[in-house]
This record gives sequence, C-alpha cells and structure tokens, in this order.
Amino acid sequence: MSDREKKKAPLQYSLFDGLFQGRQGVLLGLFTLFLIFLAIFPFLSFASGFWLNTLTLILLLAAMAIGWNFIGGYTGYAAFGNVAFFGFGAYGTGLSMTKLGLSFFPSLLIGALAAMLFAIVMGLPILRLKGHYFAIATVAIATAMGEIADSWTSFTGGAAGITLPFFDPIEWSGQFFYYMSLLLAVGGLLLTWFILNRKMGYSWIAIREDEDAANMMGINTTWAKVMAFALSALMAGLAGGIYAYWKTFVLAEEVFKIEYTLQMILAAVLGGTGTIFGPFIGAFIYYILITLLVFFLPVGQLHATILGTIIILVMVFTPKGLMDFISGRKKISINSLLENIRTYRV
Amino acid sequence: MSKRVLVLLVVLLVAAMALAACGGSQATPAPSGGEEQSTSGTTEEQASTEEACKVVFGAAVSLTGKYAKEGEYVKNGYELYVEEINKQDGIPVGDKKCMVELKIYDDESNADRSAQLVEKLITEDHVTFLLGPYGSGNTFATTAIAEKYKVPMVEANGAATKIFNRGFKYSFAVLSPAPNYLRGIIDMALDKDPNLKTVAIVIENGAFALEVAQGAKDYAEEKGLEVVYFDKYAKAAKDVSSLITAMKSKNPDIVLGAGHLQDTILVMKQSKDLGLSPKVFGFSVGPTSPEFRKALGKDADYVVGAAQWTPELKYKSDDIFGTPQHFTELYKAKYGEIPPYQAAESAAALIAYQKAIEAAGSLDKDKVRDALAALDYDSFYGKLKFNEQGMNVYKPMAVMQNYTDGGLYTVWPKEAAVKEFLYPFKPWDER
Repeated sequence: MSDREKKKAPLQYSLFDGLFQGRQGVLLGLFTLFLIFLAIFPFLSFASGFWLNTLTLILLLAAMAIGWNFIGGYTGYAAFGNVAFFGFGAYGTGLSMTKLGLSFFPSLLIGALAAMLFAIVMGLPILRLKGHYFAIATVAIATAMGEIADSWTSFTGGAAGITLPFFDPIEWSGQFFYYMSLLLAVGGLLLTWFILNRKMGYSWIAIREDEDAANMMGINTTWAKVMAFALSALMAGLAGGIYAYWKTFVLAEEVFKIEYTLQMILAAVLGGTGTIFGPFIGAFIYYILITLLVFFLPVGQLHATILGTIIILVMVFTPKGLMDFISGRKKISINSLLENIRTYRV
Repeated sequence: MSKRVLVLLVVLLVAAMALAACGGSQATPAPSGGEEQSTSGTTEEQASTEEACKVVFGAAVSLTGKYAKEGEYVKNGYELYVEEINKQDGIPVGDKKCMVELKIYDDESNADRSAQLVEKLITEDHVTFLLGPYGSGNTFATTAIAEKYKVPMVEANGAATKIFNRGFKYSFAVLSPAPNYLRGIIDMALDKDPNLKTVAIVIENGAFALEVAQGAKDYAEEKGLEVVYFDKYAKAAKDVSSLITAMKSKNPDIVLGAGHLQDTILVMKQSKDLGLSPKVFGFSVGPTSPEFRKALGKDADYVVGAAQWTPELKYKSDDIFGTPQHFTELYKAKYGEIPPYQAAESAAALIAYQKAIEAAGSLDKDKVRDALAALDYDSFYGKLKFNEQGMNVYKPMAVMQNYTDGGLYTVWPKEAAVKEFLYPFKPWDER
C-alpha cells in the first residue's frame, strides 16, 4: 500500500519547520491551544467526573495509537498484537504493586520495561516476517500471552485476577489518572517528533518504503525495526500500567482483549498513519463519535451499527486518514474523495 | 488555505465543543439527557422538602453484547418494580410519598463502559441512588465508582465475593454470594442420604466458578464429605473427557460442576459417553435453564441445579409483590414469560432500597446507606440482610431438579419444595 502516493506528499515532520508560521504554524498554534485546554480541563466548572473519565480513556487510547504508529505507521509493519504490551504493562504494574509491595511509579516503570523487553525478545524473530505473516504472528503472540496470564494461577492470579489498592485519596483519583494519561499522550507526541528528526526516524520511513533498498544503503534494519516495536511496546505498556491502577484490577480477559489492538489501529488510521498528530486526533474523533452515539443521540441500540458505518465511509473516502485534509496536503472536495477511491481501488 | 484552516478548526473544536456543550449542561439545574425528567429543579438532598418529590435510580445494564439477554431480565425486574410502586404513588419518605424514576443506560456488556456510565449517572444526571449492572466483572468496576462518590449501590447480579473484599461501605448485594451456590445441593443430598461420602468438583476457569467451587469444597468438608477430585477446565472448553475419566476412577457419590450453561451441558454429554454415574449430579448454573433440557432431552432427567430464586418458593412478605407467585403473575402479564431469577433479584434490590428509605425517613445518601446496613427484611425474594461487607449471606440457595416428566421443579429448601427430590441419579446403562 505504500509505494503509491508517497512522492507527492512532503515528509510529515516538516510540520515543525518555521514554528508558528504560515498554515502549519496556524495548525500548531491551534493544537497548542487545544493542549492548554486539556491541561486546565479538570479545573473548569463543567468538568464532571464523567468527562474526566471519558478524556482519560481517550488519552490512554491516543498514547497507545501513537505507539502503534511507530511500528504500524512509520515502519510499515502491520502489528495486530500490541494489546500484548498493554497487558504486560498492566500485569507488570499489578504484580509489582501486590507481590513486591512497591509503590505505583516504580511498578509502572517495571511494567513498561517488561513490555519493552518482551517486544525486543519477540521482535527479533518475528520482525523477519513480512506482510500477513507478521500480522498473524503478532495476533498469535497476543492471544498466547492472554491464555498464559489466564492459566498461570500461582503467578498471575489466573481467572480470579489481581486486585490493586486504591489511589489515595480516592477523591482525587480522577484528576490523578487524567494527568497521568495526558502526560503520557503528550510525551508520546514529543517522542515521535524527537525520533523523526533523528536517524532512527529516517530509517523507519526508509524501511517502510523499501526494506531491501534500506538494507543496501547500510541501514541496520533489524535494529531499527526492533526499536520501533520496543517503543510502541513502551507506550502500550505505560498505558496498561496506568489503566491497571486506575481500574484497580487486572484480569487477562480485560487487559488482553483484541478490541484494544483494533481501537489503537483504528485511531491511528482514522487520524492518519505515519503522521505525528494523526493518532492523537484519531483517538479523539473515534471516542467522541462513540460517546455522542452512546450517550447523547437518540439512536438506541443501533449505536454500534452507526459507528461501523461511519468508519467504513471514512475509510472509503479518506484512506490516508483525516490528517491529509487537516494539514492541507489535500483539499476536501468531491474530486479528491473520488481520487482516493481510484488510487486505492476501493 | 482558509478552507483548510476551517476544516482543522472543525475537527479540533469538535472535541472542545462537544465537551463544553454536553458538560456545560451540568451547571444548569435540570439534569442533562433525561428525556422524562424535565421539570425538577431541585437537588436530590432537598427533594423531600419540595412538593414534587422524586427518587431517581440509575443503572448501567447490558442491553447489547454478550449479556444482552440477562441484561434485559435485569431491566425488566427494575421496571416492573417501578411500575408497581408508582401505582401506589411511590415510596413513602417520612410523611409523604416520592414517585420513582429509572435511568438506564446500555453498557454493551463492557466493564469500562459500565464504569463510565455510572460516573455519568452520578456526576451528570445526579441520580439519587444506584442499582447494579449484570455480571461480576461489571459490578466490580461500578462499585468502585459508587464508593468514590459515596453514593449507595444495591446490586443484584454480581455474586463474586471479590467485589466485597475491598472494604467498601456503599455497596450491597441482595443475591447469595458465589461460595454459597452449591450449599443447597450438598444439604439436600445429605438430607436425603446421610451415607454419602465423596464429592468430585469440576470447575470452569473463571472468577465466579472458582469462588463457587472453593465455597462448595469448604462446605462439603465442613459437612464431613471427602473431596476426592477438584480440577478446572478452560473457559469455553470443547472437551472435558480427561477430567471425567479421572473423576470416574474415583467413583464419587456426588459430582458438582461450577461453571455456566454451555460447559454444564458439555459435562453432562461427556459423562454419558464415558458412563460416569454418581448418585447426584449438581451444577451451579445451567440445569434451571430451559436451554439445558432442549440440549440434552431425556438425559437432563435427575440433574439438579442451584437457583437464587424460583417462582415456586413459599416466601410471604408485606412488600408490594407479597409472594413469588404474585411476582410471577405480574411479570407474566407484562412480559409474557415466567420470570427468570435475574428479574426477581433485580426487583428485590429496589425493595431493599424502599425498606431502607422508609426506615431512614429520608433520601439522604448516608442515612439510607446506614439503613441498608441495618436492614433485616423478609421479601418475596427471601431474606434481605447484609453482613459487614455488604453481602447477603442469609438467604439460602434453592435447588431445582429436571424431573422425569420433563418438568423443572423446586425440590429444596424442603418447606418450599413442590416435588420430592428424585434420588438417586439413574445410571446411564439402566436407561
């Protein structure tokens, strides 16, 4: 899917050239305003617990989507098992807190590092696979990890799960987890930007465009791919750890469910893979759609059907994600939509 | 270019606007999103001093997803109670009556969504009290939210004790907890034949089933039975023949299964294939469902199953339903079927609230919480009384048996039994 269309588009990270100048400057300015809005959100009068809860879920999803973007968007490997890292982070944090009696932050670090280490160990063999084979291998690993967590009762608590202590004081738990998630998502954006201006970022894109050519040019593709995989694991692992402590509960069927992988891919694809802000914006769009459908529009139990229809339409008309239009690479018009369809032979 | 900026503005501000617009309504007195409730401008604390008094119960229930059917029963139970109590002008609070309203959302059988919705019910819709969702997982997630905001939640469909082992003050369950599930069957078997010696237990690897099994094991040992087999099979297992072969070699008097409908049917099918014939076959979930008879036909005969409640029980009460039979009549008239126990226990949760509100004489959340903690009431559903953790350990579990005439009858507790417990299980080779 990647060889067409690329030449036309300027490289995405040029978004930061000439900070706050021209169109991209306006975009960045607006985005900064939005981040400021998010930063002061809990202090606004209408910020009820419900909205704090919803935004926390969105930000965690955004962080995971940003992580998925490293391997799926920039490096071009269809990773369908990132929930394994989420689960690793959740179990790592949960077990460190309950079995080792550590406090939250060191536990979170242990969980995230465990996820990263696992990604490196698993990535070395399976990143030699390509296309569908890689996708299948990642799904298999995620499923297997879920089964192991579910059956290894003596270590993981098995089907009874792990119960974590509550955040103390409980009245402030909403704010605490909100800011943790915001920090993680914004940290993910900065990490993306940082890497894209380094050799690592160029290597990822080179691998996506033509891995053999990249190899011949002297790029250590194995190292670059494994790093992309490990960094996406880091993001998912941190999100999993925060999630576990927030929900005070870790259960295999909850933290290893494939929906999380699908959600992070969906968020990245909706927003635009291979862009800095795409996954972040995609997570917001996806979740706000759900929230509107479930809570505020009188569609009854049809909400899932309508959501599915909207996603299909977005995919048909803007397969490269909404960042294409936002960043001005394309204009929204009937022609550009039809061109999308022709280009991707939908 | 201006067009693109416009597009961006739309996308970025969708978030901000949606949040501001929807969240903003919280600042105004009228609750947002409440279609039926448009006039009330009071907060719930002062409600009783205004002329139009109202109690709003909020719940997230699974109306879609894997628990959609059970969720529907729960909703039916809640709604039947509300309809009946409003015929009597509502719940007496002090010297006046308060009409009852329900606010129900669909949690899609998803624990995350359930927690999110309960947070919405509390902070946006300002419901007076909370009712539970369906299932232990969702109940676990939502009780934590209720505790955070110090709003009482009486739940009726989460039996796992881990929900109540966290020291919560605001969560109560009207149903018997998971470890009690198989006690009725053990009691009944020993009552029939005190010479029974050995028990084998097979367990689905799930939180609820594991608690059921552990509770059954402890109780059996307490009663002097020997547990000769105790092992689990994977969730959604397709083959349990190795476990059945192992059980058969122990030749147990009683075989107990802790699990759900599908695996219970599987255990029965493979027991027949392998010729496992104990004197009693009993299960936590399954035999009381019509699906069980449909799947097994004549092979369902003699099998007993635990039940939280049955329409045939002989409880008498002064609540609005009076007896299980009257509840059954009303339910049948409204929904056209025999009420499943989920509907009965859900209605019982509201009866617990009603009695606590009457005792407290107020809608104050903490006063009602204290009244719930002190509640001791005999309802159409059985005893409503909570231990320190908030669990109803006082209500016995009933037992139903698949009879040889194709019917399903309550056989335990003895005083409520419709028919005699058929004993022993007829061995497969004599059928």
